[in-house]
This record gives sequence, structure tokens and C-alpha cells, in this order.
Amino acid sequence: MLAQTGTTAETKMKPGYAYIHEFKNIEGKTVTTTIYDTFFQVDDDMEVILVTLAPAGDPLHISTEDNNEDKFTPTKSKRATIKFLSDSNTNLETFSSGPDDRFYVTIQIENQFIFYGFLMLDDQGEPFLPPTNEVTLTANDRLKALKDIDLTDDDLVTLRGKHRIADILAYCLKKTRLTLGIKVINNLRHGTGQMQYQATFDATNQTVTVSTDSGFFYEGMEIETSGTTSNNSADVVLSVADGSGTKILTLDRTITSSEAGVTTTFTDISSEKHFYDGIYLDAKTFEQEIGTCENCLQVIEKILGEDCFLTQWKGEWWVMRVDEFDGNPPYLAQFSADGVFGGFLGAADFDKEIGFNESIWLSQEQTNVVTQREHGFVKEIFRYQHAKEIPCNSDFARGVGPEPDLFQNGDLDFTPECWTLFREGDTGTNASIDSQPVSGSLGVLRKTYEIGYEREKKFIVVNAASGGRHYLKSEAIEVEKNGRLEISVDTRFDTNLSIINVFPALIRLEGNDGTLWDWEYNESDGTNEWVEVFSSTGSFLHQWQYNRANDDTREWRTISATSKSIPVSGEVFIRLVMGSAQPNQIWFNNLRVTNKAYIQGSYQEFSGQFNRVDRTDIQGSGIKSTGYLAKRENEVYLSDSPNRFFKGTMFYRSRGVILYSGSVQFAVTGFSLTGNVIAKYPSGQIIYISGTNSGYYTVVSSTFNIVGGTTAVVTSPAPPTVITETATIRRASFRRTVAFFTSHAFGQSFPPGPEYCIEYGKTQAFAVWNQYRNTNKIFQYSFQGDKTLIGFGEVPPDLLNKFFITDSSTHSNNRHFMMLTFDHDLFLCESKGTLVETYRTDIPKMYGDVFEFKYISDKT
Amino acid sequence: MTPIFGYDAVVSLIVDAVAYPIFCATDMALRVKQDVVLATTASSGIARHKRLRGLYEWSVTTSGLTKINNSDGQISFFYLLQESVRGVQQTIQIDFSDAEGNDHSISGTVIIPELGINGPATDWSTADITFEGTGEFSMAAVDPPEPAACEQEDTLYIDAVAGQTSVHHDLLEQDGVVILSVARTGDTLYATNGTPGSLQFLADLPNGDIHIDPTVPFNSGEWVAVEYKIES
Repeated sequence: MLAQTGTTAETKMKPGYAYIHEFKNIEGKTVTTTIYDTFFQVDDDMEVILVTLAPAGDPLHISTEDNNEDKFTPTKSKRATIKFLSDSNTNLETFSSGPDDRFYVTIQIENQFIFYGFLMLDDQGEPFLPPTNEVTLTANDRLKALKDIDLTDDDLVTLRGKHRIADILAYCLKKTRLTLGIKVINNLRHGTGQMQYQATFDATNQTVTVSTDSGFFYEGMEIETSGTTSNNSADVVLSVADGSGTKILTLDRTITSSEAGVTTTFTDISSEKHFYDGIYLDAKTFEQEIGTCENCLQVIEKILGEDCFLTQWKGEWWVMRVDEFDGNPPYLAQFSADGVFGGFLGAADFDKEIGFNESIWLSQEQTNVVTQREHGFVKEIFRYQHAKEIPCNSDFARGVGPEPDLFQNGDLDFTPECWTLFREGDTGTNASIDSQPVSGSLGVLRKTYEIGYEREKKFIVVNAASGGRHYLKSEAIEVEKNGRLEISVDTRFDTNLSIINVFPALIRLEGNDGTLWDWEYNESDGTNEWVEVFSSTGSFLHQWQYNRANDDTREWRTISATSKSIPVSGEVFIRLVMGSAQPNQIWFNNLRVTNKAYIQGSYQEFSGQFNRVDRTDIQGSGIKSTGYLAKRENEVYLSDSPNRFFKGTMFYRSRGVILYSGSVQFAVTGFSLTGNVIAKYPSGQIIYISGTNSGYYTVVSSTFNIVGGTTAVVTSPAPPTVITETATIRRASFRRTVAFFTSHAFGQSFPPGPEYCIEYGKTQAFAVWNQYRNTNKIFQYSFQGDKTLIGFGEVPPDLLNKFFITDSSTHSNNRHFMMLTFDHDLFLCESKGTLVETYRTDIPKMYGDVFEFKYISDKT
Repeated sequence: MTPIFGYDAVVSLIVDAVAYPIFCATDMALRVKQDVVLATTASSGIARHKRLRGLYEWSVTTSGLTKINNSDGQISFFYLLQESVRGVQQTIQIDFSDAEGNDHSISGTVIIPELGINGPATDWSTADITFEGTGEFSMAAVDPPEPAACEQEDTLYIDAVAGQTSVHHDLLEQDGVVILSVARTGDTLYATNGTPGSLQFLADLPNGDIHIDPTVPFNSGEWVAVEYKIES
């Protein structure tokens, strides 16, 4: 459906004109095309003026936009070609001007909508003759038009931070101006599923010993236990150690009751979620330039590439994983147009038979069979790409403030984007760090202009007479355990101070395991280490420092260091600090941050990795076949990244740092906490709350109320229960994905063991491989819907159908086909296009061919 | 029924709901052409398979002598030649009748893509016109033919047994047997529903028996001829 205009119910408008193009096809079905002119809007309660168009002899085709015969083409856009007979009132001129989304088109067969789109105003035509003429209009679903629209959220703000895949797809698809639900046939799921083991819960040692040596458990796993007497719970696995034929777990809760040898069902909570609901991507995966994202078409293609395709069908967007065109039925999941998960819908039946005695039969003696040769290997390459700026606004270029005039001279101050002014807090400990700044302090981006040209920019931080240290805090920098950080920054003061030691930065790591670490660096004495700190620890005990004795502090001075190995995976925040109790300015510039990945036991710079499957003549032998020269090598943009800061890293959500533990007053819209803690609850942050209202919430807003001295946090969704109770609030942590399984092979449920759960890249490589291992038969078809048996009906054959050609032949027997391209004549109910083999019942999918995973070094 | 003679097939133009014959036509032809789709496939054998798609088109051509105007109730060529007539859709009707008073009518909306007139020096001026149907034509339904009565006639020669007063044949047990005639050793017998008397017979169907006068049993060497038919 068309996204409605207007912002309130009172001002809702709708198109005032609609052109109706209607005919009965040879099956006797009424096919109606309606073209709404959105240029002329009327109030929602007014009648639309209807204008009838006379259909031409070949009135309507719907076809795929391009003829790419690659099964893994990620977007399959559709086009409608509408022909009508002109008259003096309605002709080509009627549809020839206006913005690209002026003419909104719907097509339905009887009551079933089969196409939503917009007229393409640069592709219309009619003979240059007096009326009556045949006017040709074309409409498309605007998928291809997404190449001109950058990824933003619904408020047109460039995305930042972590987002569910479903949210990102929805942001993109809504840019088509079509508000359509999204159905997904992709049953890859993260995690290790569900298993039942004997477990001993030890309250003394705070461990759980599980009688398995399998790979079911992993660090960071959010797990639900059931079947016990007093240890049924949902916890995070903090560590997994090997015992003697057992796994020994530590959890993020206190075990209060010991139980021995109890049969326990362990469920990986991430495995219960749909791939697009449970997996998150960092917006930087789609970074185009600093501060902008790639266009929405690129974004969709990066998400779906070498895996799925997207198309519009039956009035909705559909995503289909090619590997699921197999012997299992398609299992559906539903998302709203906004990306909200609507549930698993179970199995569907999209089978279509084509054959001499079927309702669709090959016609005109125009169907040809061609072959696609067997491949020697497929190779999926994932390149390591860093974000262009680490952290956000690292070059101090962007801020919100006055608009400089054409001949601006002098300084202008801006509120820096992605950096927030805070102060150390009254307790001087980490419990009150990131307090609100006091009046008289300053933390700005200052730009200096000459005749309208920006000549200089810098951050300036000034302390107030009270309130302690003030600082500008960065957004998070993703880091990985054992990696290293290289940071350098230039500092100076506005005056020459008699100062010896300068403490310009506090660099803190917030680990995914809830620990806090400060990077202590002293340029003078060589101290360089990560120091674990706690809530009760003084907040500025372990900073960066350097010596400026006998130095003019008005000179820029660079301080730079490379960290020791990072102790835990998590997020680093840089606080650029005015560390001196003086009414002077400290200036910052030229910040550089480099993340050094620790891969394969070294800091060698790898440029990427690949997953490759080679043909073997004997499954499981490890010996590659020779003589098969066809290959498929493609780049993929999502994979099992070895480091969380690479673009394309996939994350699952878990529980992280404790933000608060104590009394929480839950309300209808959110909750309230004592004190001004809005810094801990920025808009968009995902939090986990324990207790009666346990679950994940997204912070919508947080406001400090002076009266009462409380912070009110509005959440989405709202807490289900209004109650005041003791609860723990944690920041959600995002951890790199571990393993995936194909749940469609298990009836959209869990696999029988963790051995079915493997890396995403390997799963993907074999899914692609199984499409190219066999000789593919490609039918360049011409088929006819039988008018008596109603071959097209209200839902003509489409890309989501699984086709069987029942005319017996070596080319067609035991084979399933998918439709790659089509051109449907919706009047004659005939079609031309391409079907390609996707599965053979007599040669099942192969997983014993030679698999190889390798890091790519630029030196090799 | 008698065949339709040519002058009993009349093409008329409907003007204000009245049918006017189109000039003094000497010939007419109605053509209906259906869309045929080839349906042969790899496993359907070596003979071509064809199917009807469901679309058809139809046209009517007529030619004949014409006059200057429509004054005698026939449509003149020159009337049709006018842009206001040939430039818009028209409705025509074709009436067929036979000498027995049976009739049939076909009508539909047409456009006139082509019309012409010629004037040979030594003959009448003749005109011709083509009407192409747009949309379906309409006509009254024609009943399908009733199946003809399936009659089988045959004659059985049954040897009689001396002393008996009846003969039997299995074929006379069939459903629908109607006895047409019976002869006893050459003498034709009359049918009766009662006890047969002299020169009479009683057919006992469906038992397949023919009874004769019980007072005059068969002699040695006699035979009975039974002519019968089976009605379906």
C-alpha cells in the first residue's frame, strides 16, 4: 500500500484521481489496474474521481526487470507494462509529468493484489498519430530506484550503532514509498539450539557442570534452563571450561540452590529467534562516506548477497533463501513493514506443476533446455574493512550550531556530533562518572572562519569552578579481546600554563562480560597497561598523561600510544578531559584511532578471509577433483568476522554492563530512577531489565525531573507491569555470532545436536556450492495457463514457486526448478522466461566435498 | 430440413433498432477464426498437439449490387461510405432461413476496416464490404443433435422340435427386442397377446420364446423364421 501523507488523523489525505484499466483475461478473471494520481490530494473522507481507461489488445504484462540468470541475484524487481487506447481527454500527456512517485499503481486479479508500484515517467510512449492510439505505460516496484536513496532511518537520519537486520531491510524497503509487509523464507538461525543434559548446579563454587563434551555451550550464550527444581532461569554463560567429559559453566547469576545430576533442558535463546530478528549489524557496515550510508539497493544486496533474493509477490515483500528450494517445504516468517517480527508461520505449499496434463503447459514448441556445467569450486570472499572514522566524528568535523554566513569571520561554536560533554561526578568514583556538566563548563567544537572559509577546527573543554573534571565523551569503539588500540591526539592549552603533568584522556573499556578496564599510559615513565576498575574505584586514577614541564603549553603536542593486548572484548570510550583545575581551555585536534586485529595468533594484517568448497569424486576423501574448470568467486559482505570492528560483523544480543541495580519504579511508559542518570540511558540504547518486567527494551527518551530529582526513562516496548521493585538494569551487549543451523531441515525447529551448528561462512559456501555442483538444466520456457483448468488464477506463477516439470524427460525428472525471469501476458495467461534447476531428488545436497577456510594476507 | 439457399442469408445493418439489408447483396461470408496454441512436449508423442487458447475473431464479408440511396429499404454503399457511419462501431445482423420456415440469426458489433465499389463498363456496379467483429457475436443456442435410434434388424431361423408348440432363441432375450414378423415353415403368423390360435403366435419376451397354436404342434422338419429388431 501507498504510504499515506499527512501527519495527523485530521490532515490525512489521499489521491483524488484514479484511472481504472480493467479487462477479463482468457480464464475469465477480472484484472484491474488502478493508477492513482497523488498530485491531486483530497481529504480522506472524500470520493476519488474515477476515470476509465480502455485497455488495448495486449493490455498488461508483468515481468522481471532484468534478465540476469544468476540464482543469487539479490533483488528481483518487477515491471508492469500497461497499454490503453488514448482519447482526447486521457492520453500520454496525462501521465507524462511530475515527481517519480506521482502515479501510484496497483494491479489485482479479482481481489488479490499482485503488484504495487509507481509509473516510470521516462519510459512511456504512444505513436505520433491522431487518436485513438495505443499508449504504453510502465510501472515498477521501485526496488531499482533505491539506488538513488541513501540508507537512513524513518526520520531521514543516517543510521548509527547496531540494528536488527529486519530493521535495516525495513528502512530500505519503506524508501520505495510502499508500505508492505515482509515475509521471509530464510530459516538459518543462530546458536546451538536446544539440548537436554544431566547438570549439577553448585552453589558453593558457583558452577554448573554439564555432562557433555559437545560444543553446545559458548561464552556469552544467553541460555534458558528448565526441568530443574530450583534453577530454572535465563542466564548468560560467562565462561565455559572443559572438565572430564563435561563442560563447566559459570553464569551471570548467583546460584543459590545446589542440585546434582538433574536432567536439564538448555535452550539457546538466540536460537529461538529468526535470523533477521535476532542478528544485528553495525550501521558502519554500510558506511559510504563519513556521516553517510550507502544507497538502499546496495544495502539490501549486501545483506542478501550469495544467500537470498528479494521480490514483491502477492502484495508483500518476500525474501527467499535459495538453499531452501529443496525437498523441504518453504517455512515462512512474517515481519511488518516496520520490521517488527510477527511470528513463524510454519510450512507453506508453493509447488507448481508444469506439464502436458497440468493447468500450465509448455506451449508454442518454444521451450529450450540448456545446460550449466558442473563447477570445480565456489569461493566466498569476505574482506576486512574498517569504518572510515573511529570513533564517530573522530575528525571533529561535524556539529550542530549556527549557520555560518557567506563571509563569516572569527569563531563559531557547535555542539559536536557523537561526543557528549559530561563531568566526573560528585563521588569521584565510577559510580557517578558521566554526570551532567555544571553551569560554566564548556565542551564544544569550535571552528574559525576567514571570509566564509573554515580555517581551523578543534574541540575545546573548559571546567567550571565546581563539578570537577569535565570532558567530551566519544561514542563506542568496538574492540576485541587480544587486539590492540593505537590512539594519538594533539592537545594544547589556550594560554601558557605552569603545568607539569597533563592528563588529557581517560580511555575506558567496558567489557561484554561486565568488567571495566582503564588504559593507563604515562609517556614519562613508560607505564602502559589495562587496569581493571570497579564502581567504587576512583574514576580518574588510571589515565593518559604526559609531561609538559618547561614547555609552552600553547604549542600543539601529540601524545600517542599503542595499547597492550585488550583484556576482554567490548567497547572503548574515549573521554577527552580538561584535567586541570584552572579556568583555561584545553584544545584537542587530530585524533587518530586504529584497531589492530589479533588474528590467527598474531597482529599480521590480513585483508580478508574466504570459505571455499572444491569438488571431490569421493565424498569425504579430501581429494579435489580435476578437470572441472568452472568456478564461482564472489565477495560477501556479512560473515564470521574475526573481529567485531570489521564491517559486516554479525552480532547477537546478550546482556552486558550493569548500569544500575536497586529500586526501580516501573510506570506505564517506562521507569524512573533516583538522580540524574540520563547519560546512562541515551535514546536508542538497548537495555536488559531483570525481575517482573524482565526483558530487553529500547530507550526512547530519558528526562531528568528537577522536582523529585528523578530520571524518567521512556522505553519501547513499555514495561508490562507497573510496580516498584528491586531490579538490575544492564546495557545490552552485542557479541559476534558463533554458529548457525538450518532449521528448515528440522521442521523450523532445533537440530538434534550441536554438530549441525556451524559457521555462517561455511553454511553459506555449501549452500552456494550445492547450487553449482550438479549440471543445472535451464529451461527457457514458453508456457500457457490452461483456460479451463485455470493455470494462472488469481496468483500467477512467480519467483517464489517451486516448479516441477511433469513431462517425463531426463532433463526434467527428479528435478525442482526456480523461476529466474518471466514475462507474463496477463490477458492471454501465457509466459516466457527462465526456469533453473535448484534441487535433485535423486542426488541430494552434498556436504562431503573439500572445504577450506583461509585468511587472506596481502603478503601472500 | 432443407438446405439454406443463398438468398436466404441476409446481412443487415441495425439502424435505430431496425435491420436494413446491406445493399442488394449477391454473396456473403462469415468467418470465425480461433487462436490455436501448440502444446507438443517432449513426452507427448510425435504427432503435434494443439489446443484452443480461448480467443477467437470473426468477420463478415458481403458484396453485391447497390443503389444511390437507402430509399427502398436497403442500405446503400454510399450511406456506409460516410465517415460518420464507417468511422464508428456498427451493429450487424445475419439472418438465415430455409424453405420450411426455420430461421437463425447472428448479430454483433463490428468495425468496417474495408469497403469498396467498382463499375465495370459492361456490367452492374458492384460493392463489397468487410465487417470485423469486435467483441463476441450473439446468436440463439442450437440444440445438439439427438442421437439417432440405434436399430438392429435381423432374422433368425430356428429349427423346431417335433411335437413342441414353441421355439426359443437366446438373442430374443436381449433388452429392446421387438418382433417384426414370424413365419412357420414359410407361412406368416399374426401376433396375438392371448393364446395363439391358427396362424397366430405369441412372443414371450424377454424369455426368448415364440409360441404357436398349441393344438397344432410342430412336425418334424419344420422351422420358424423370426424377423426382429432391437431398439435402444
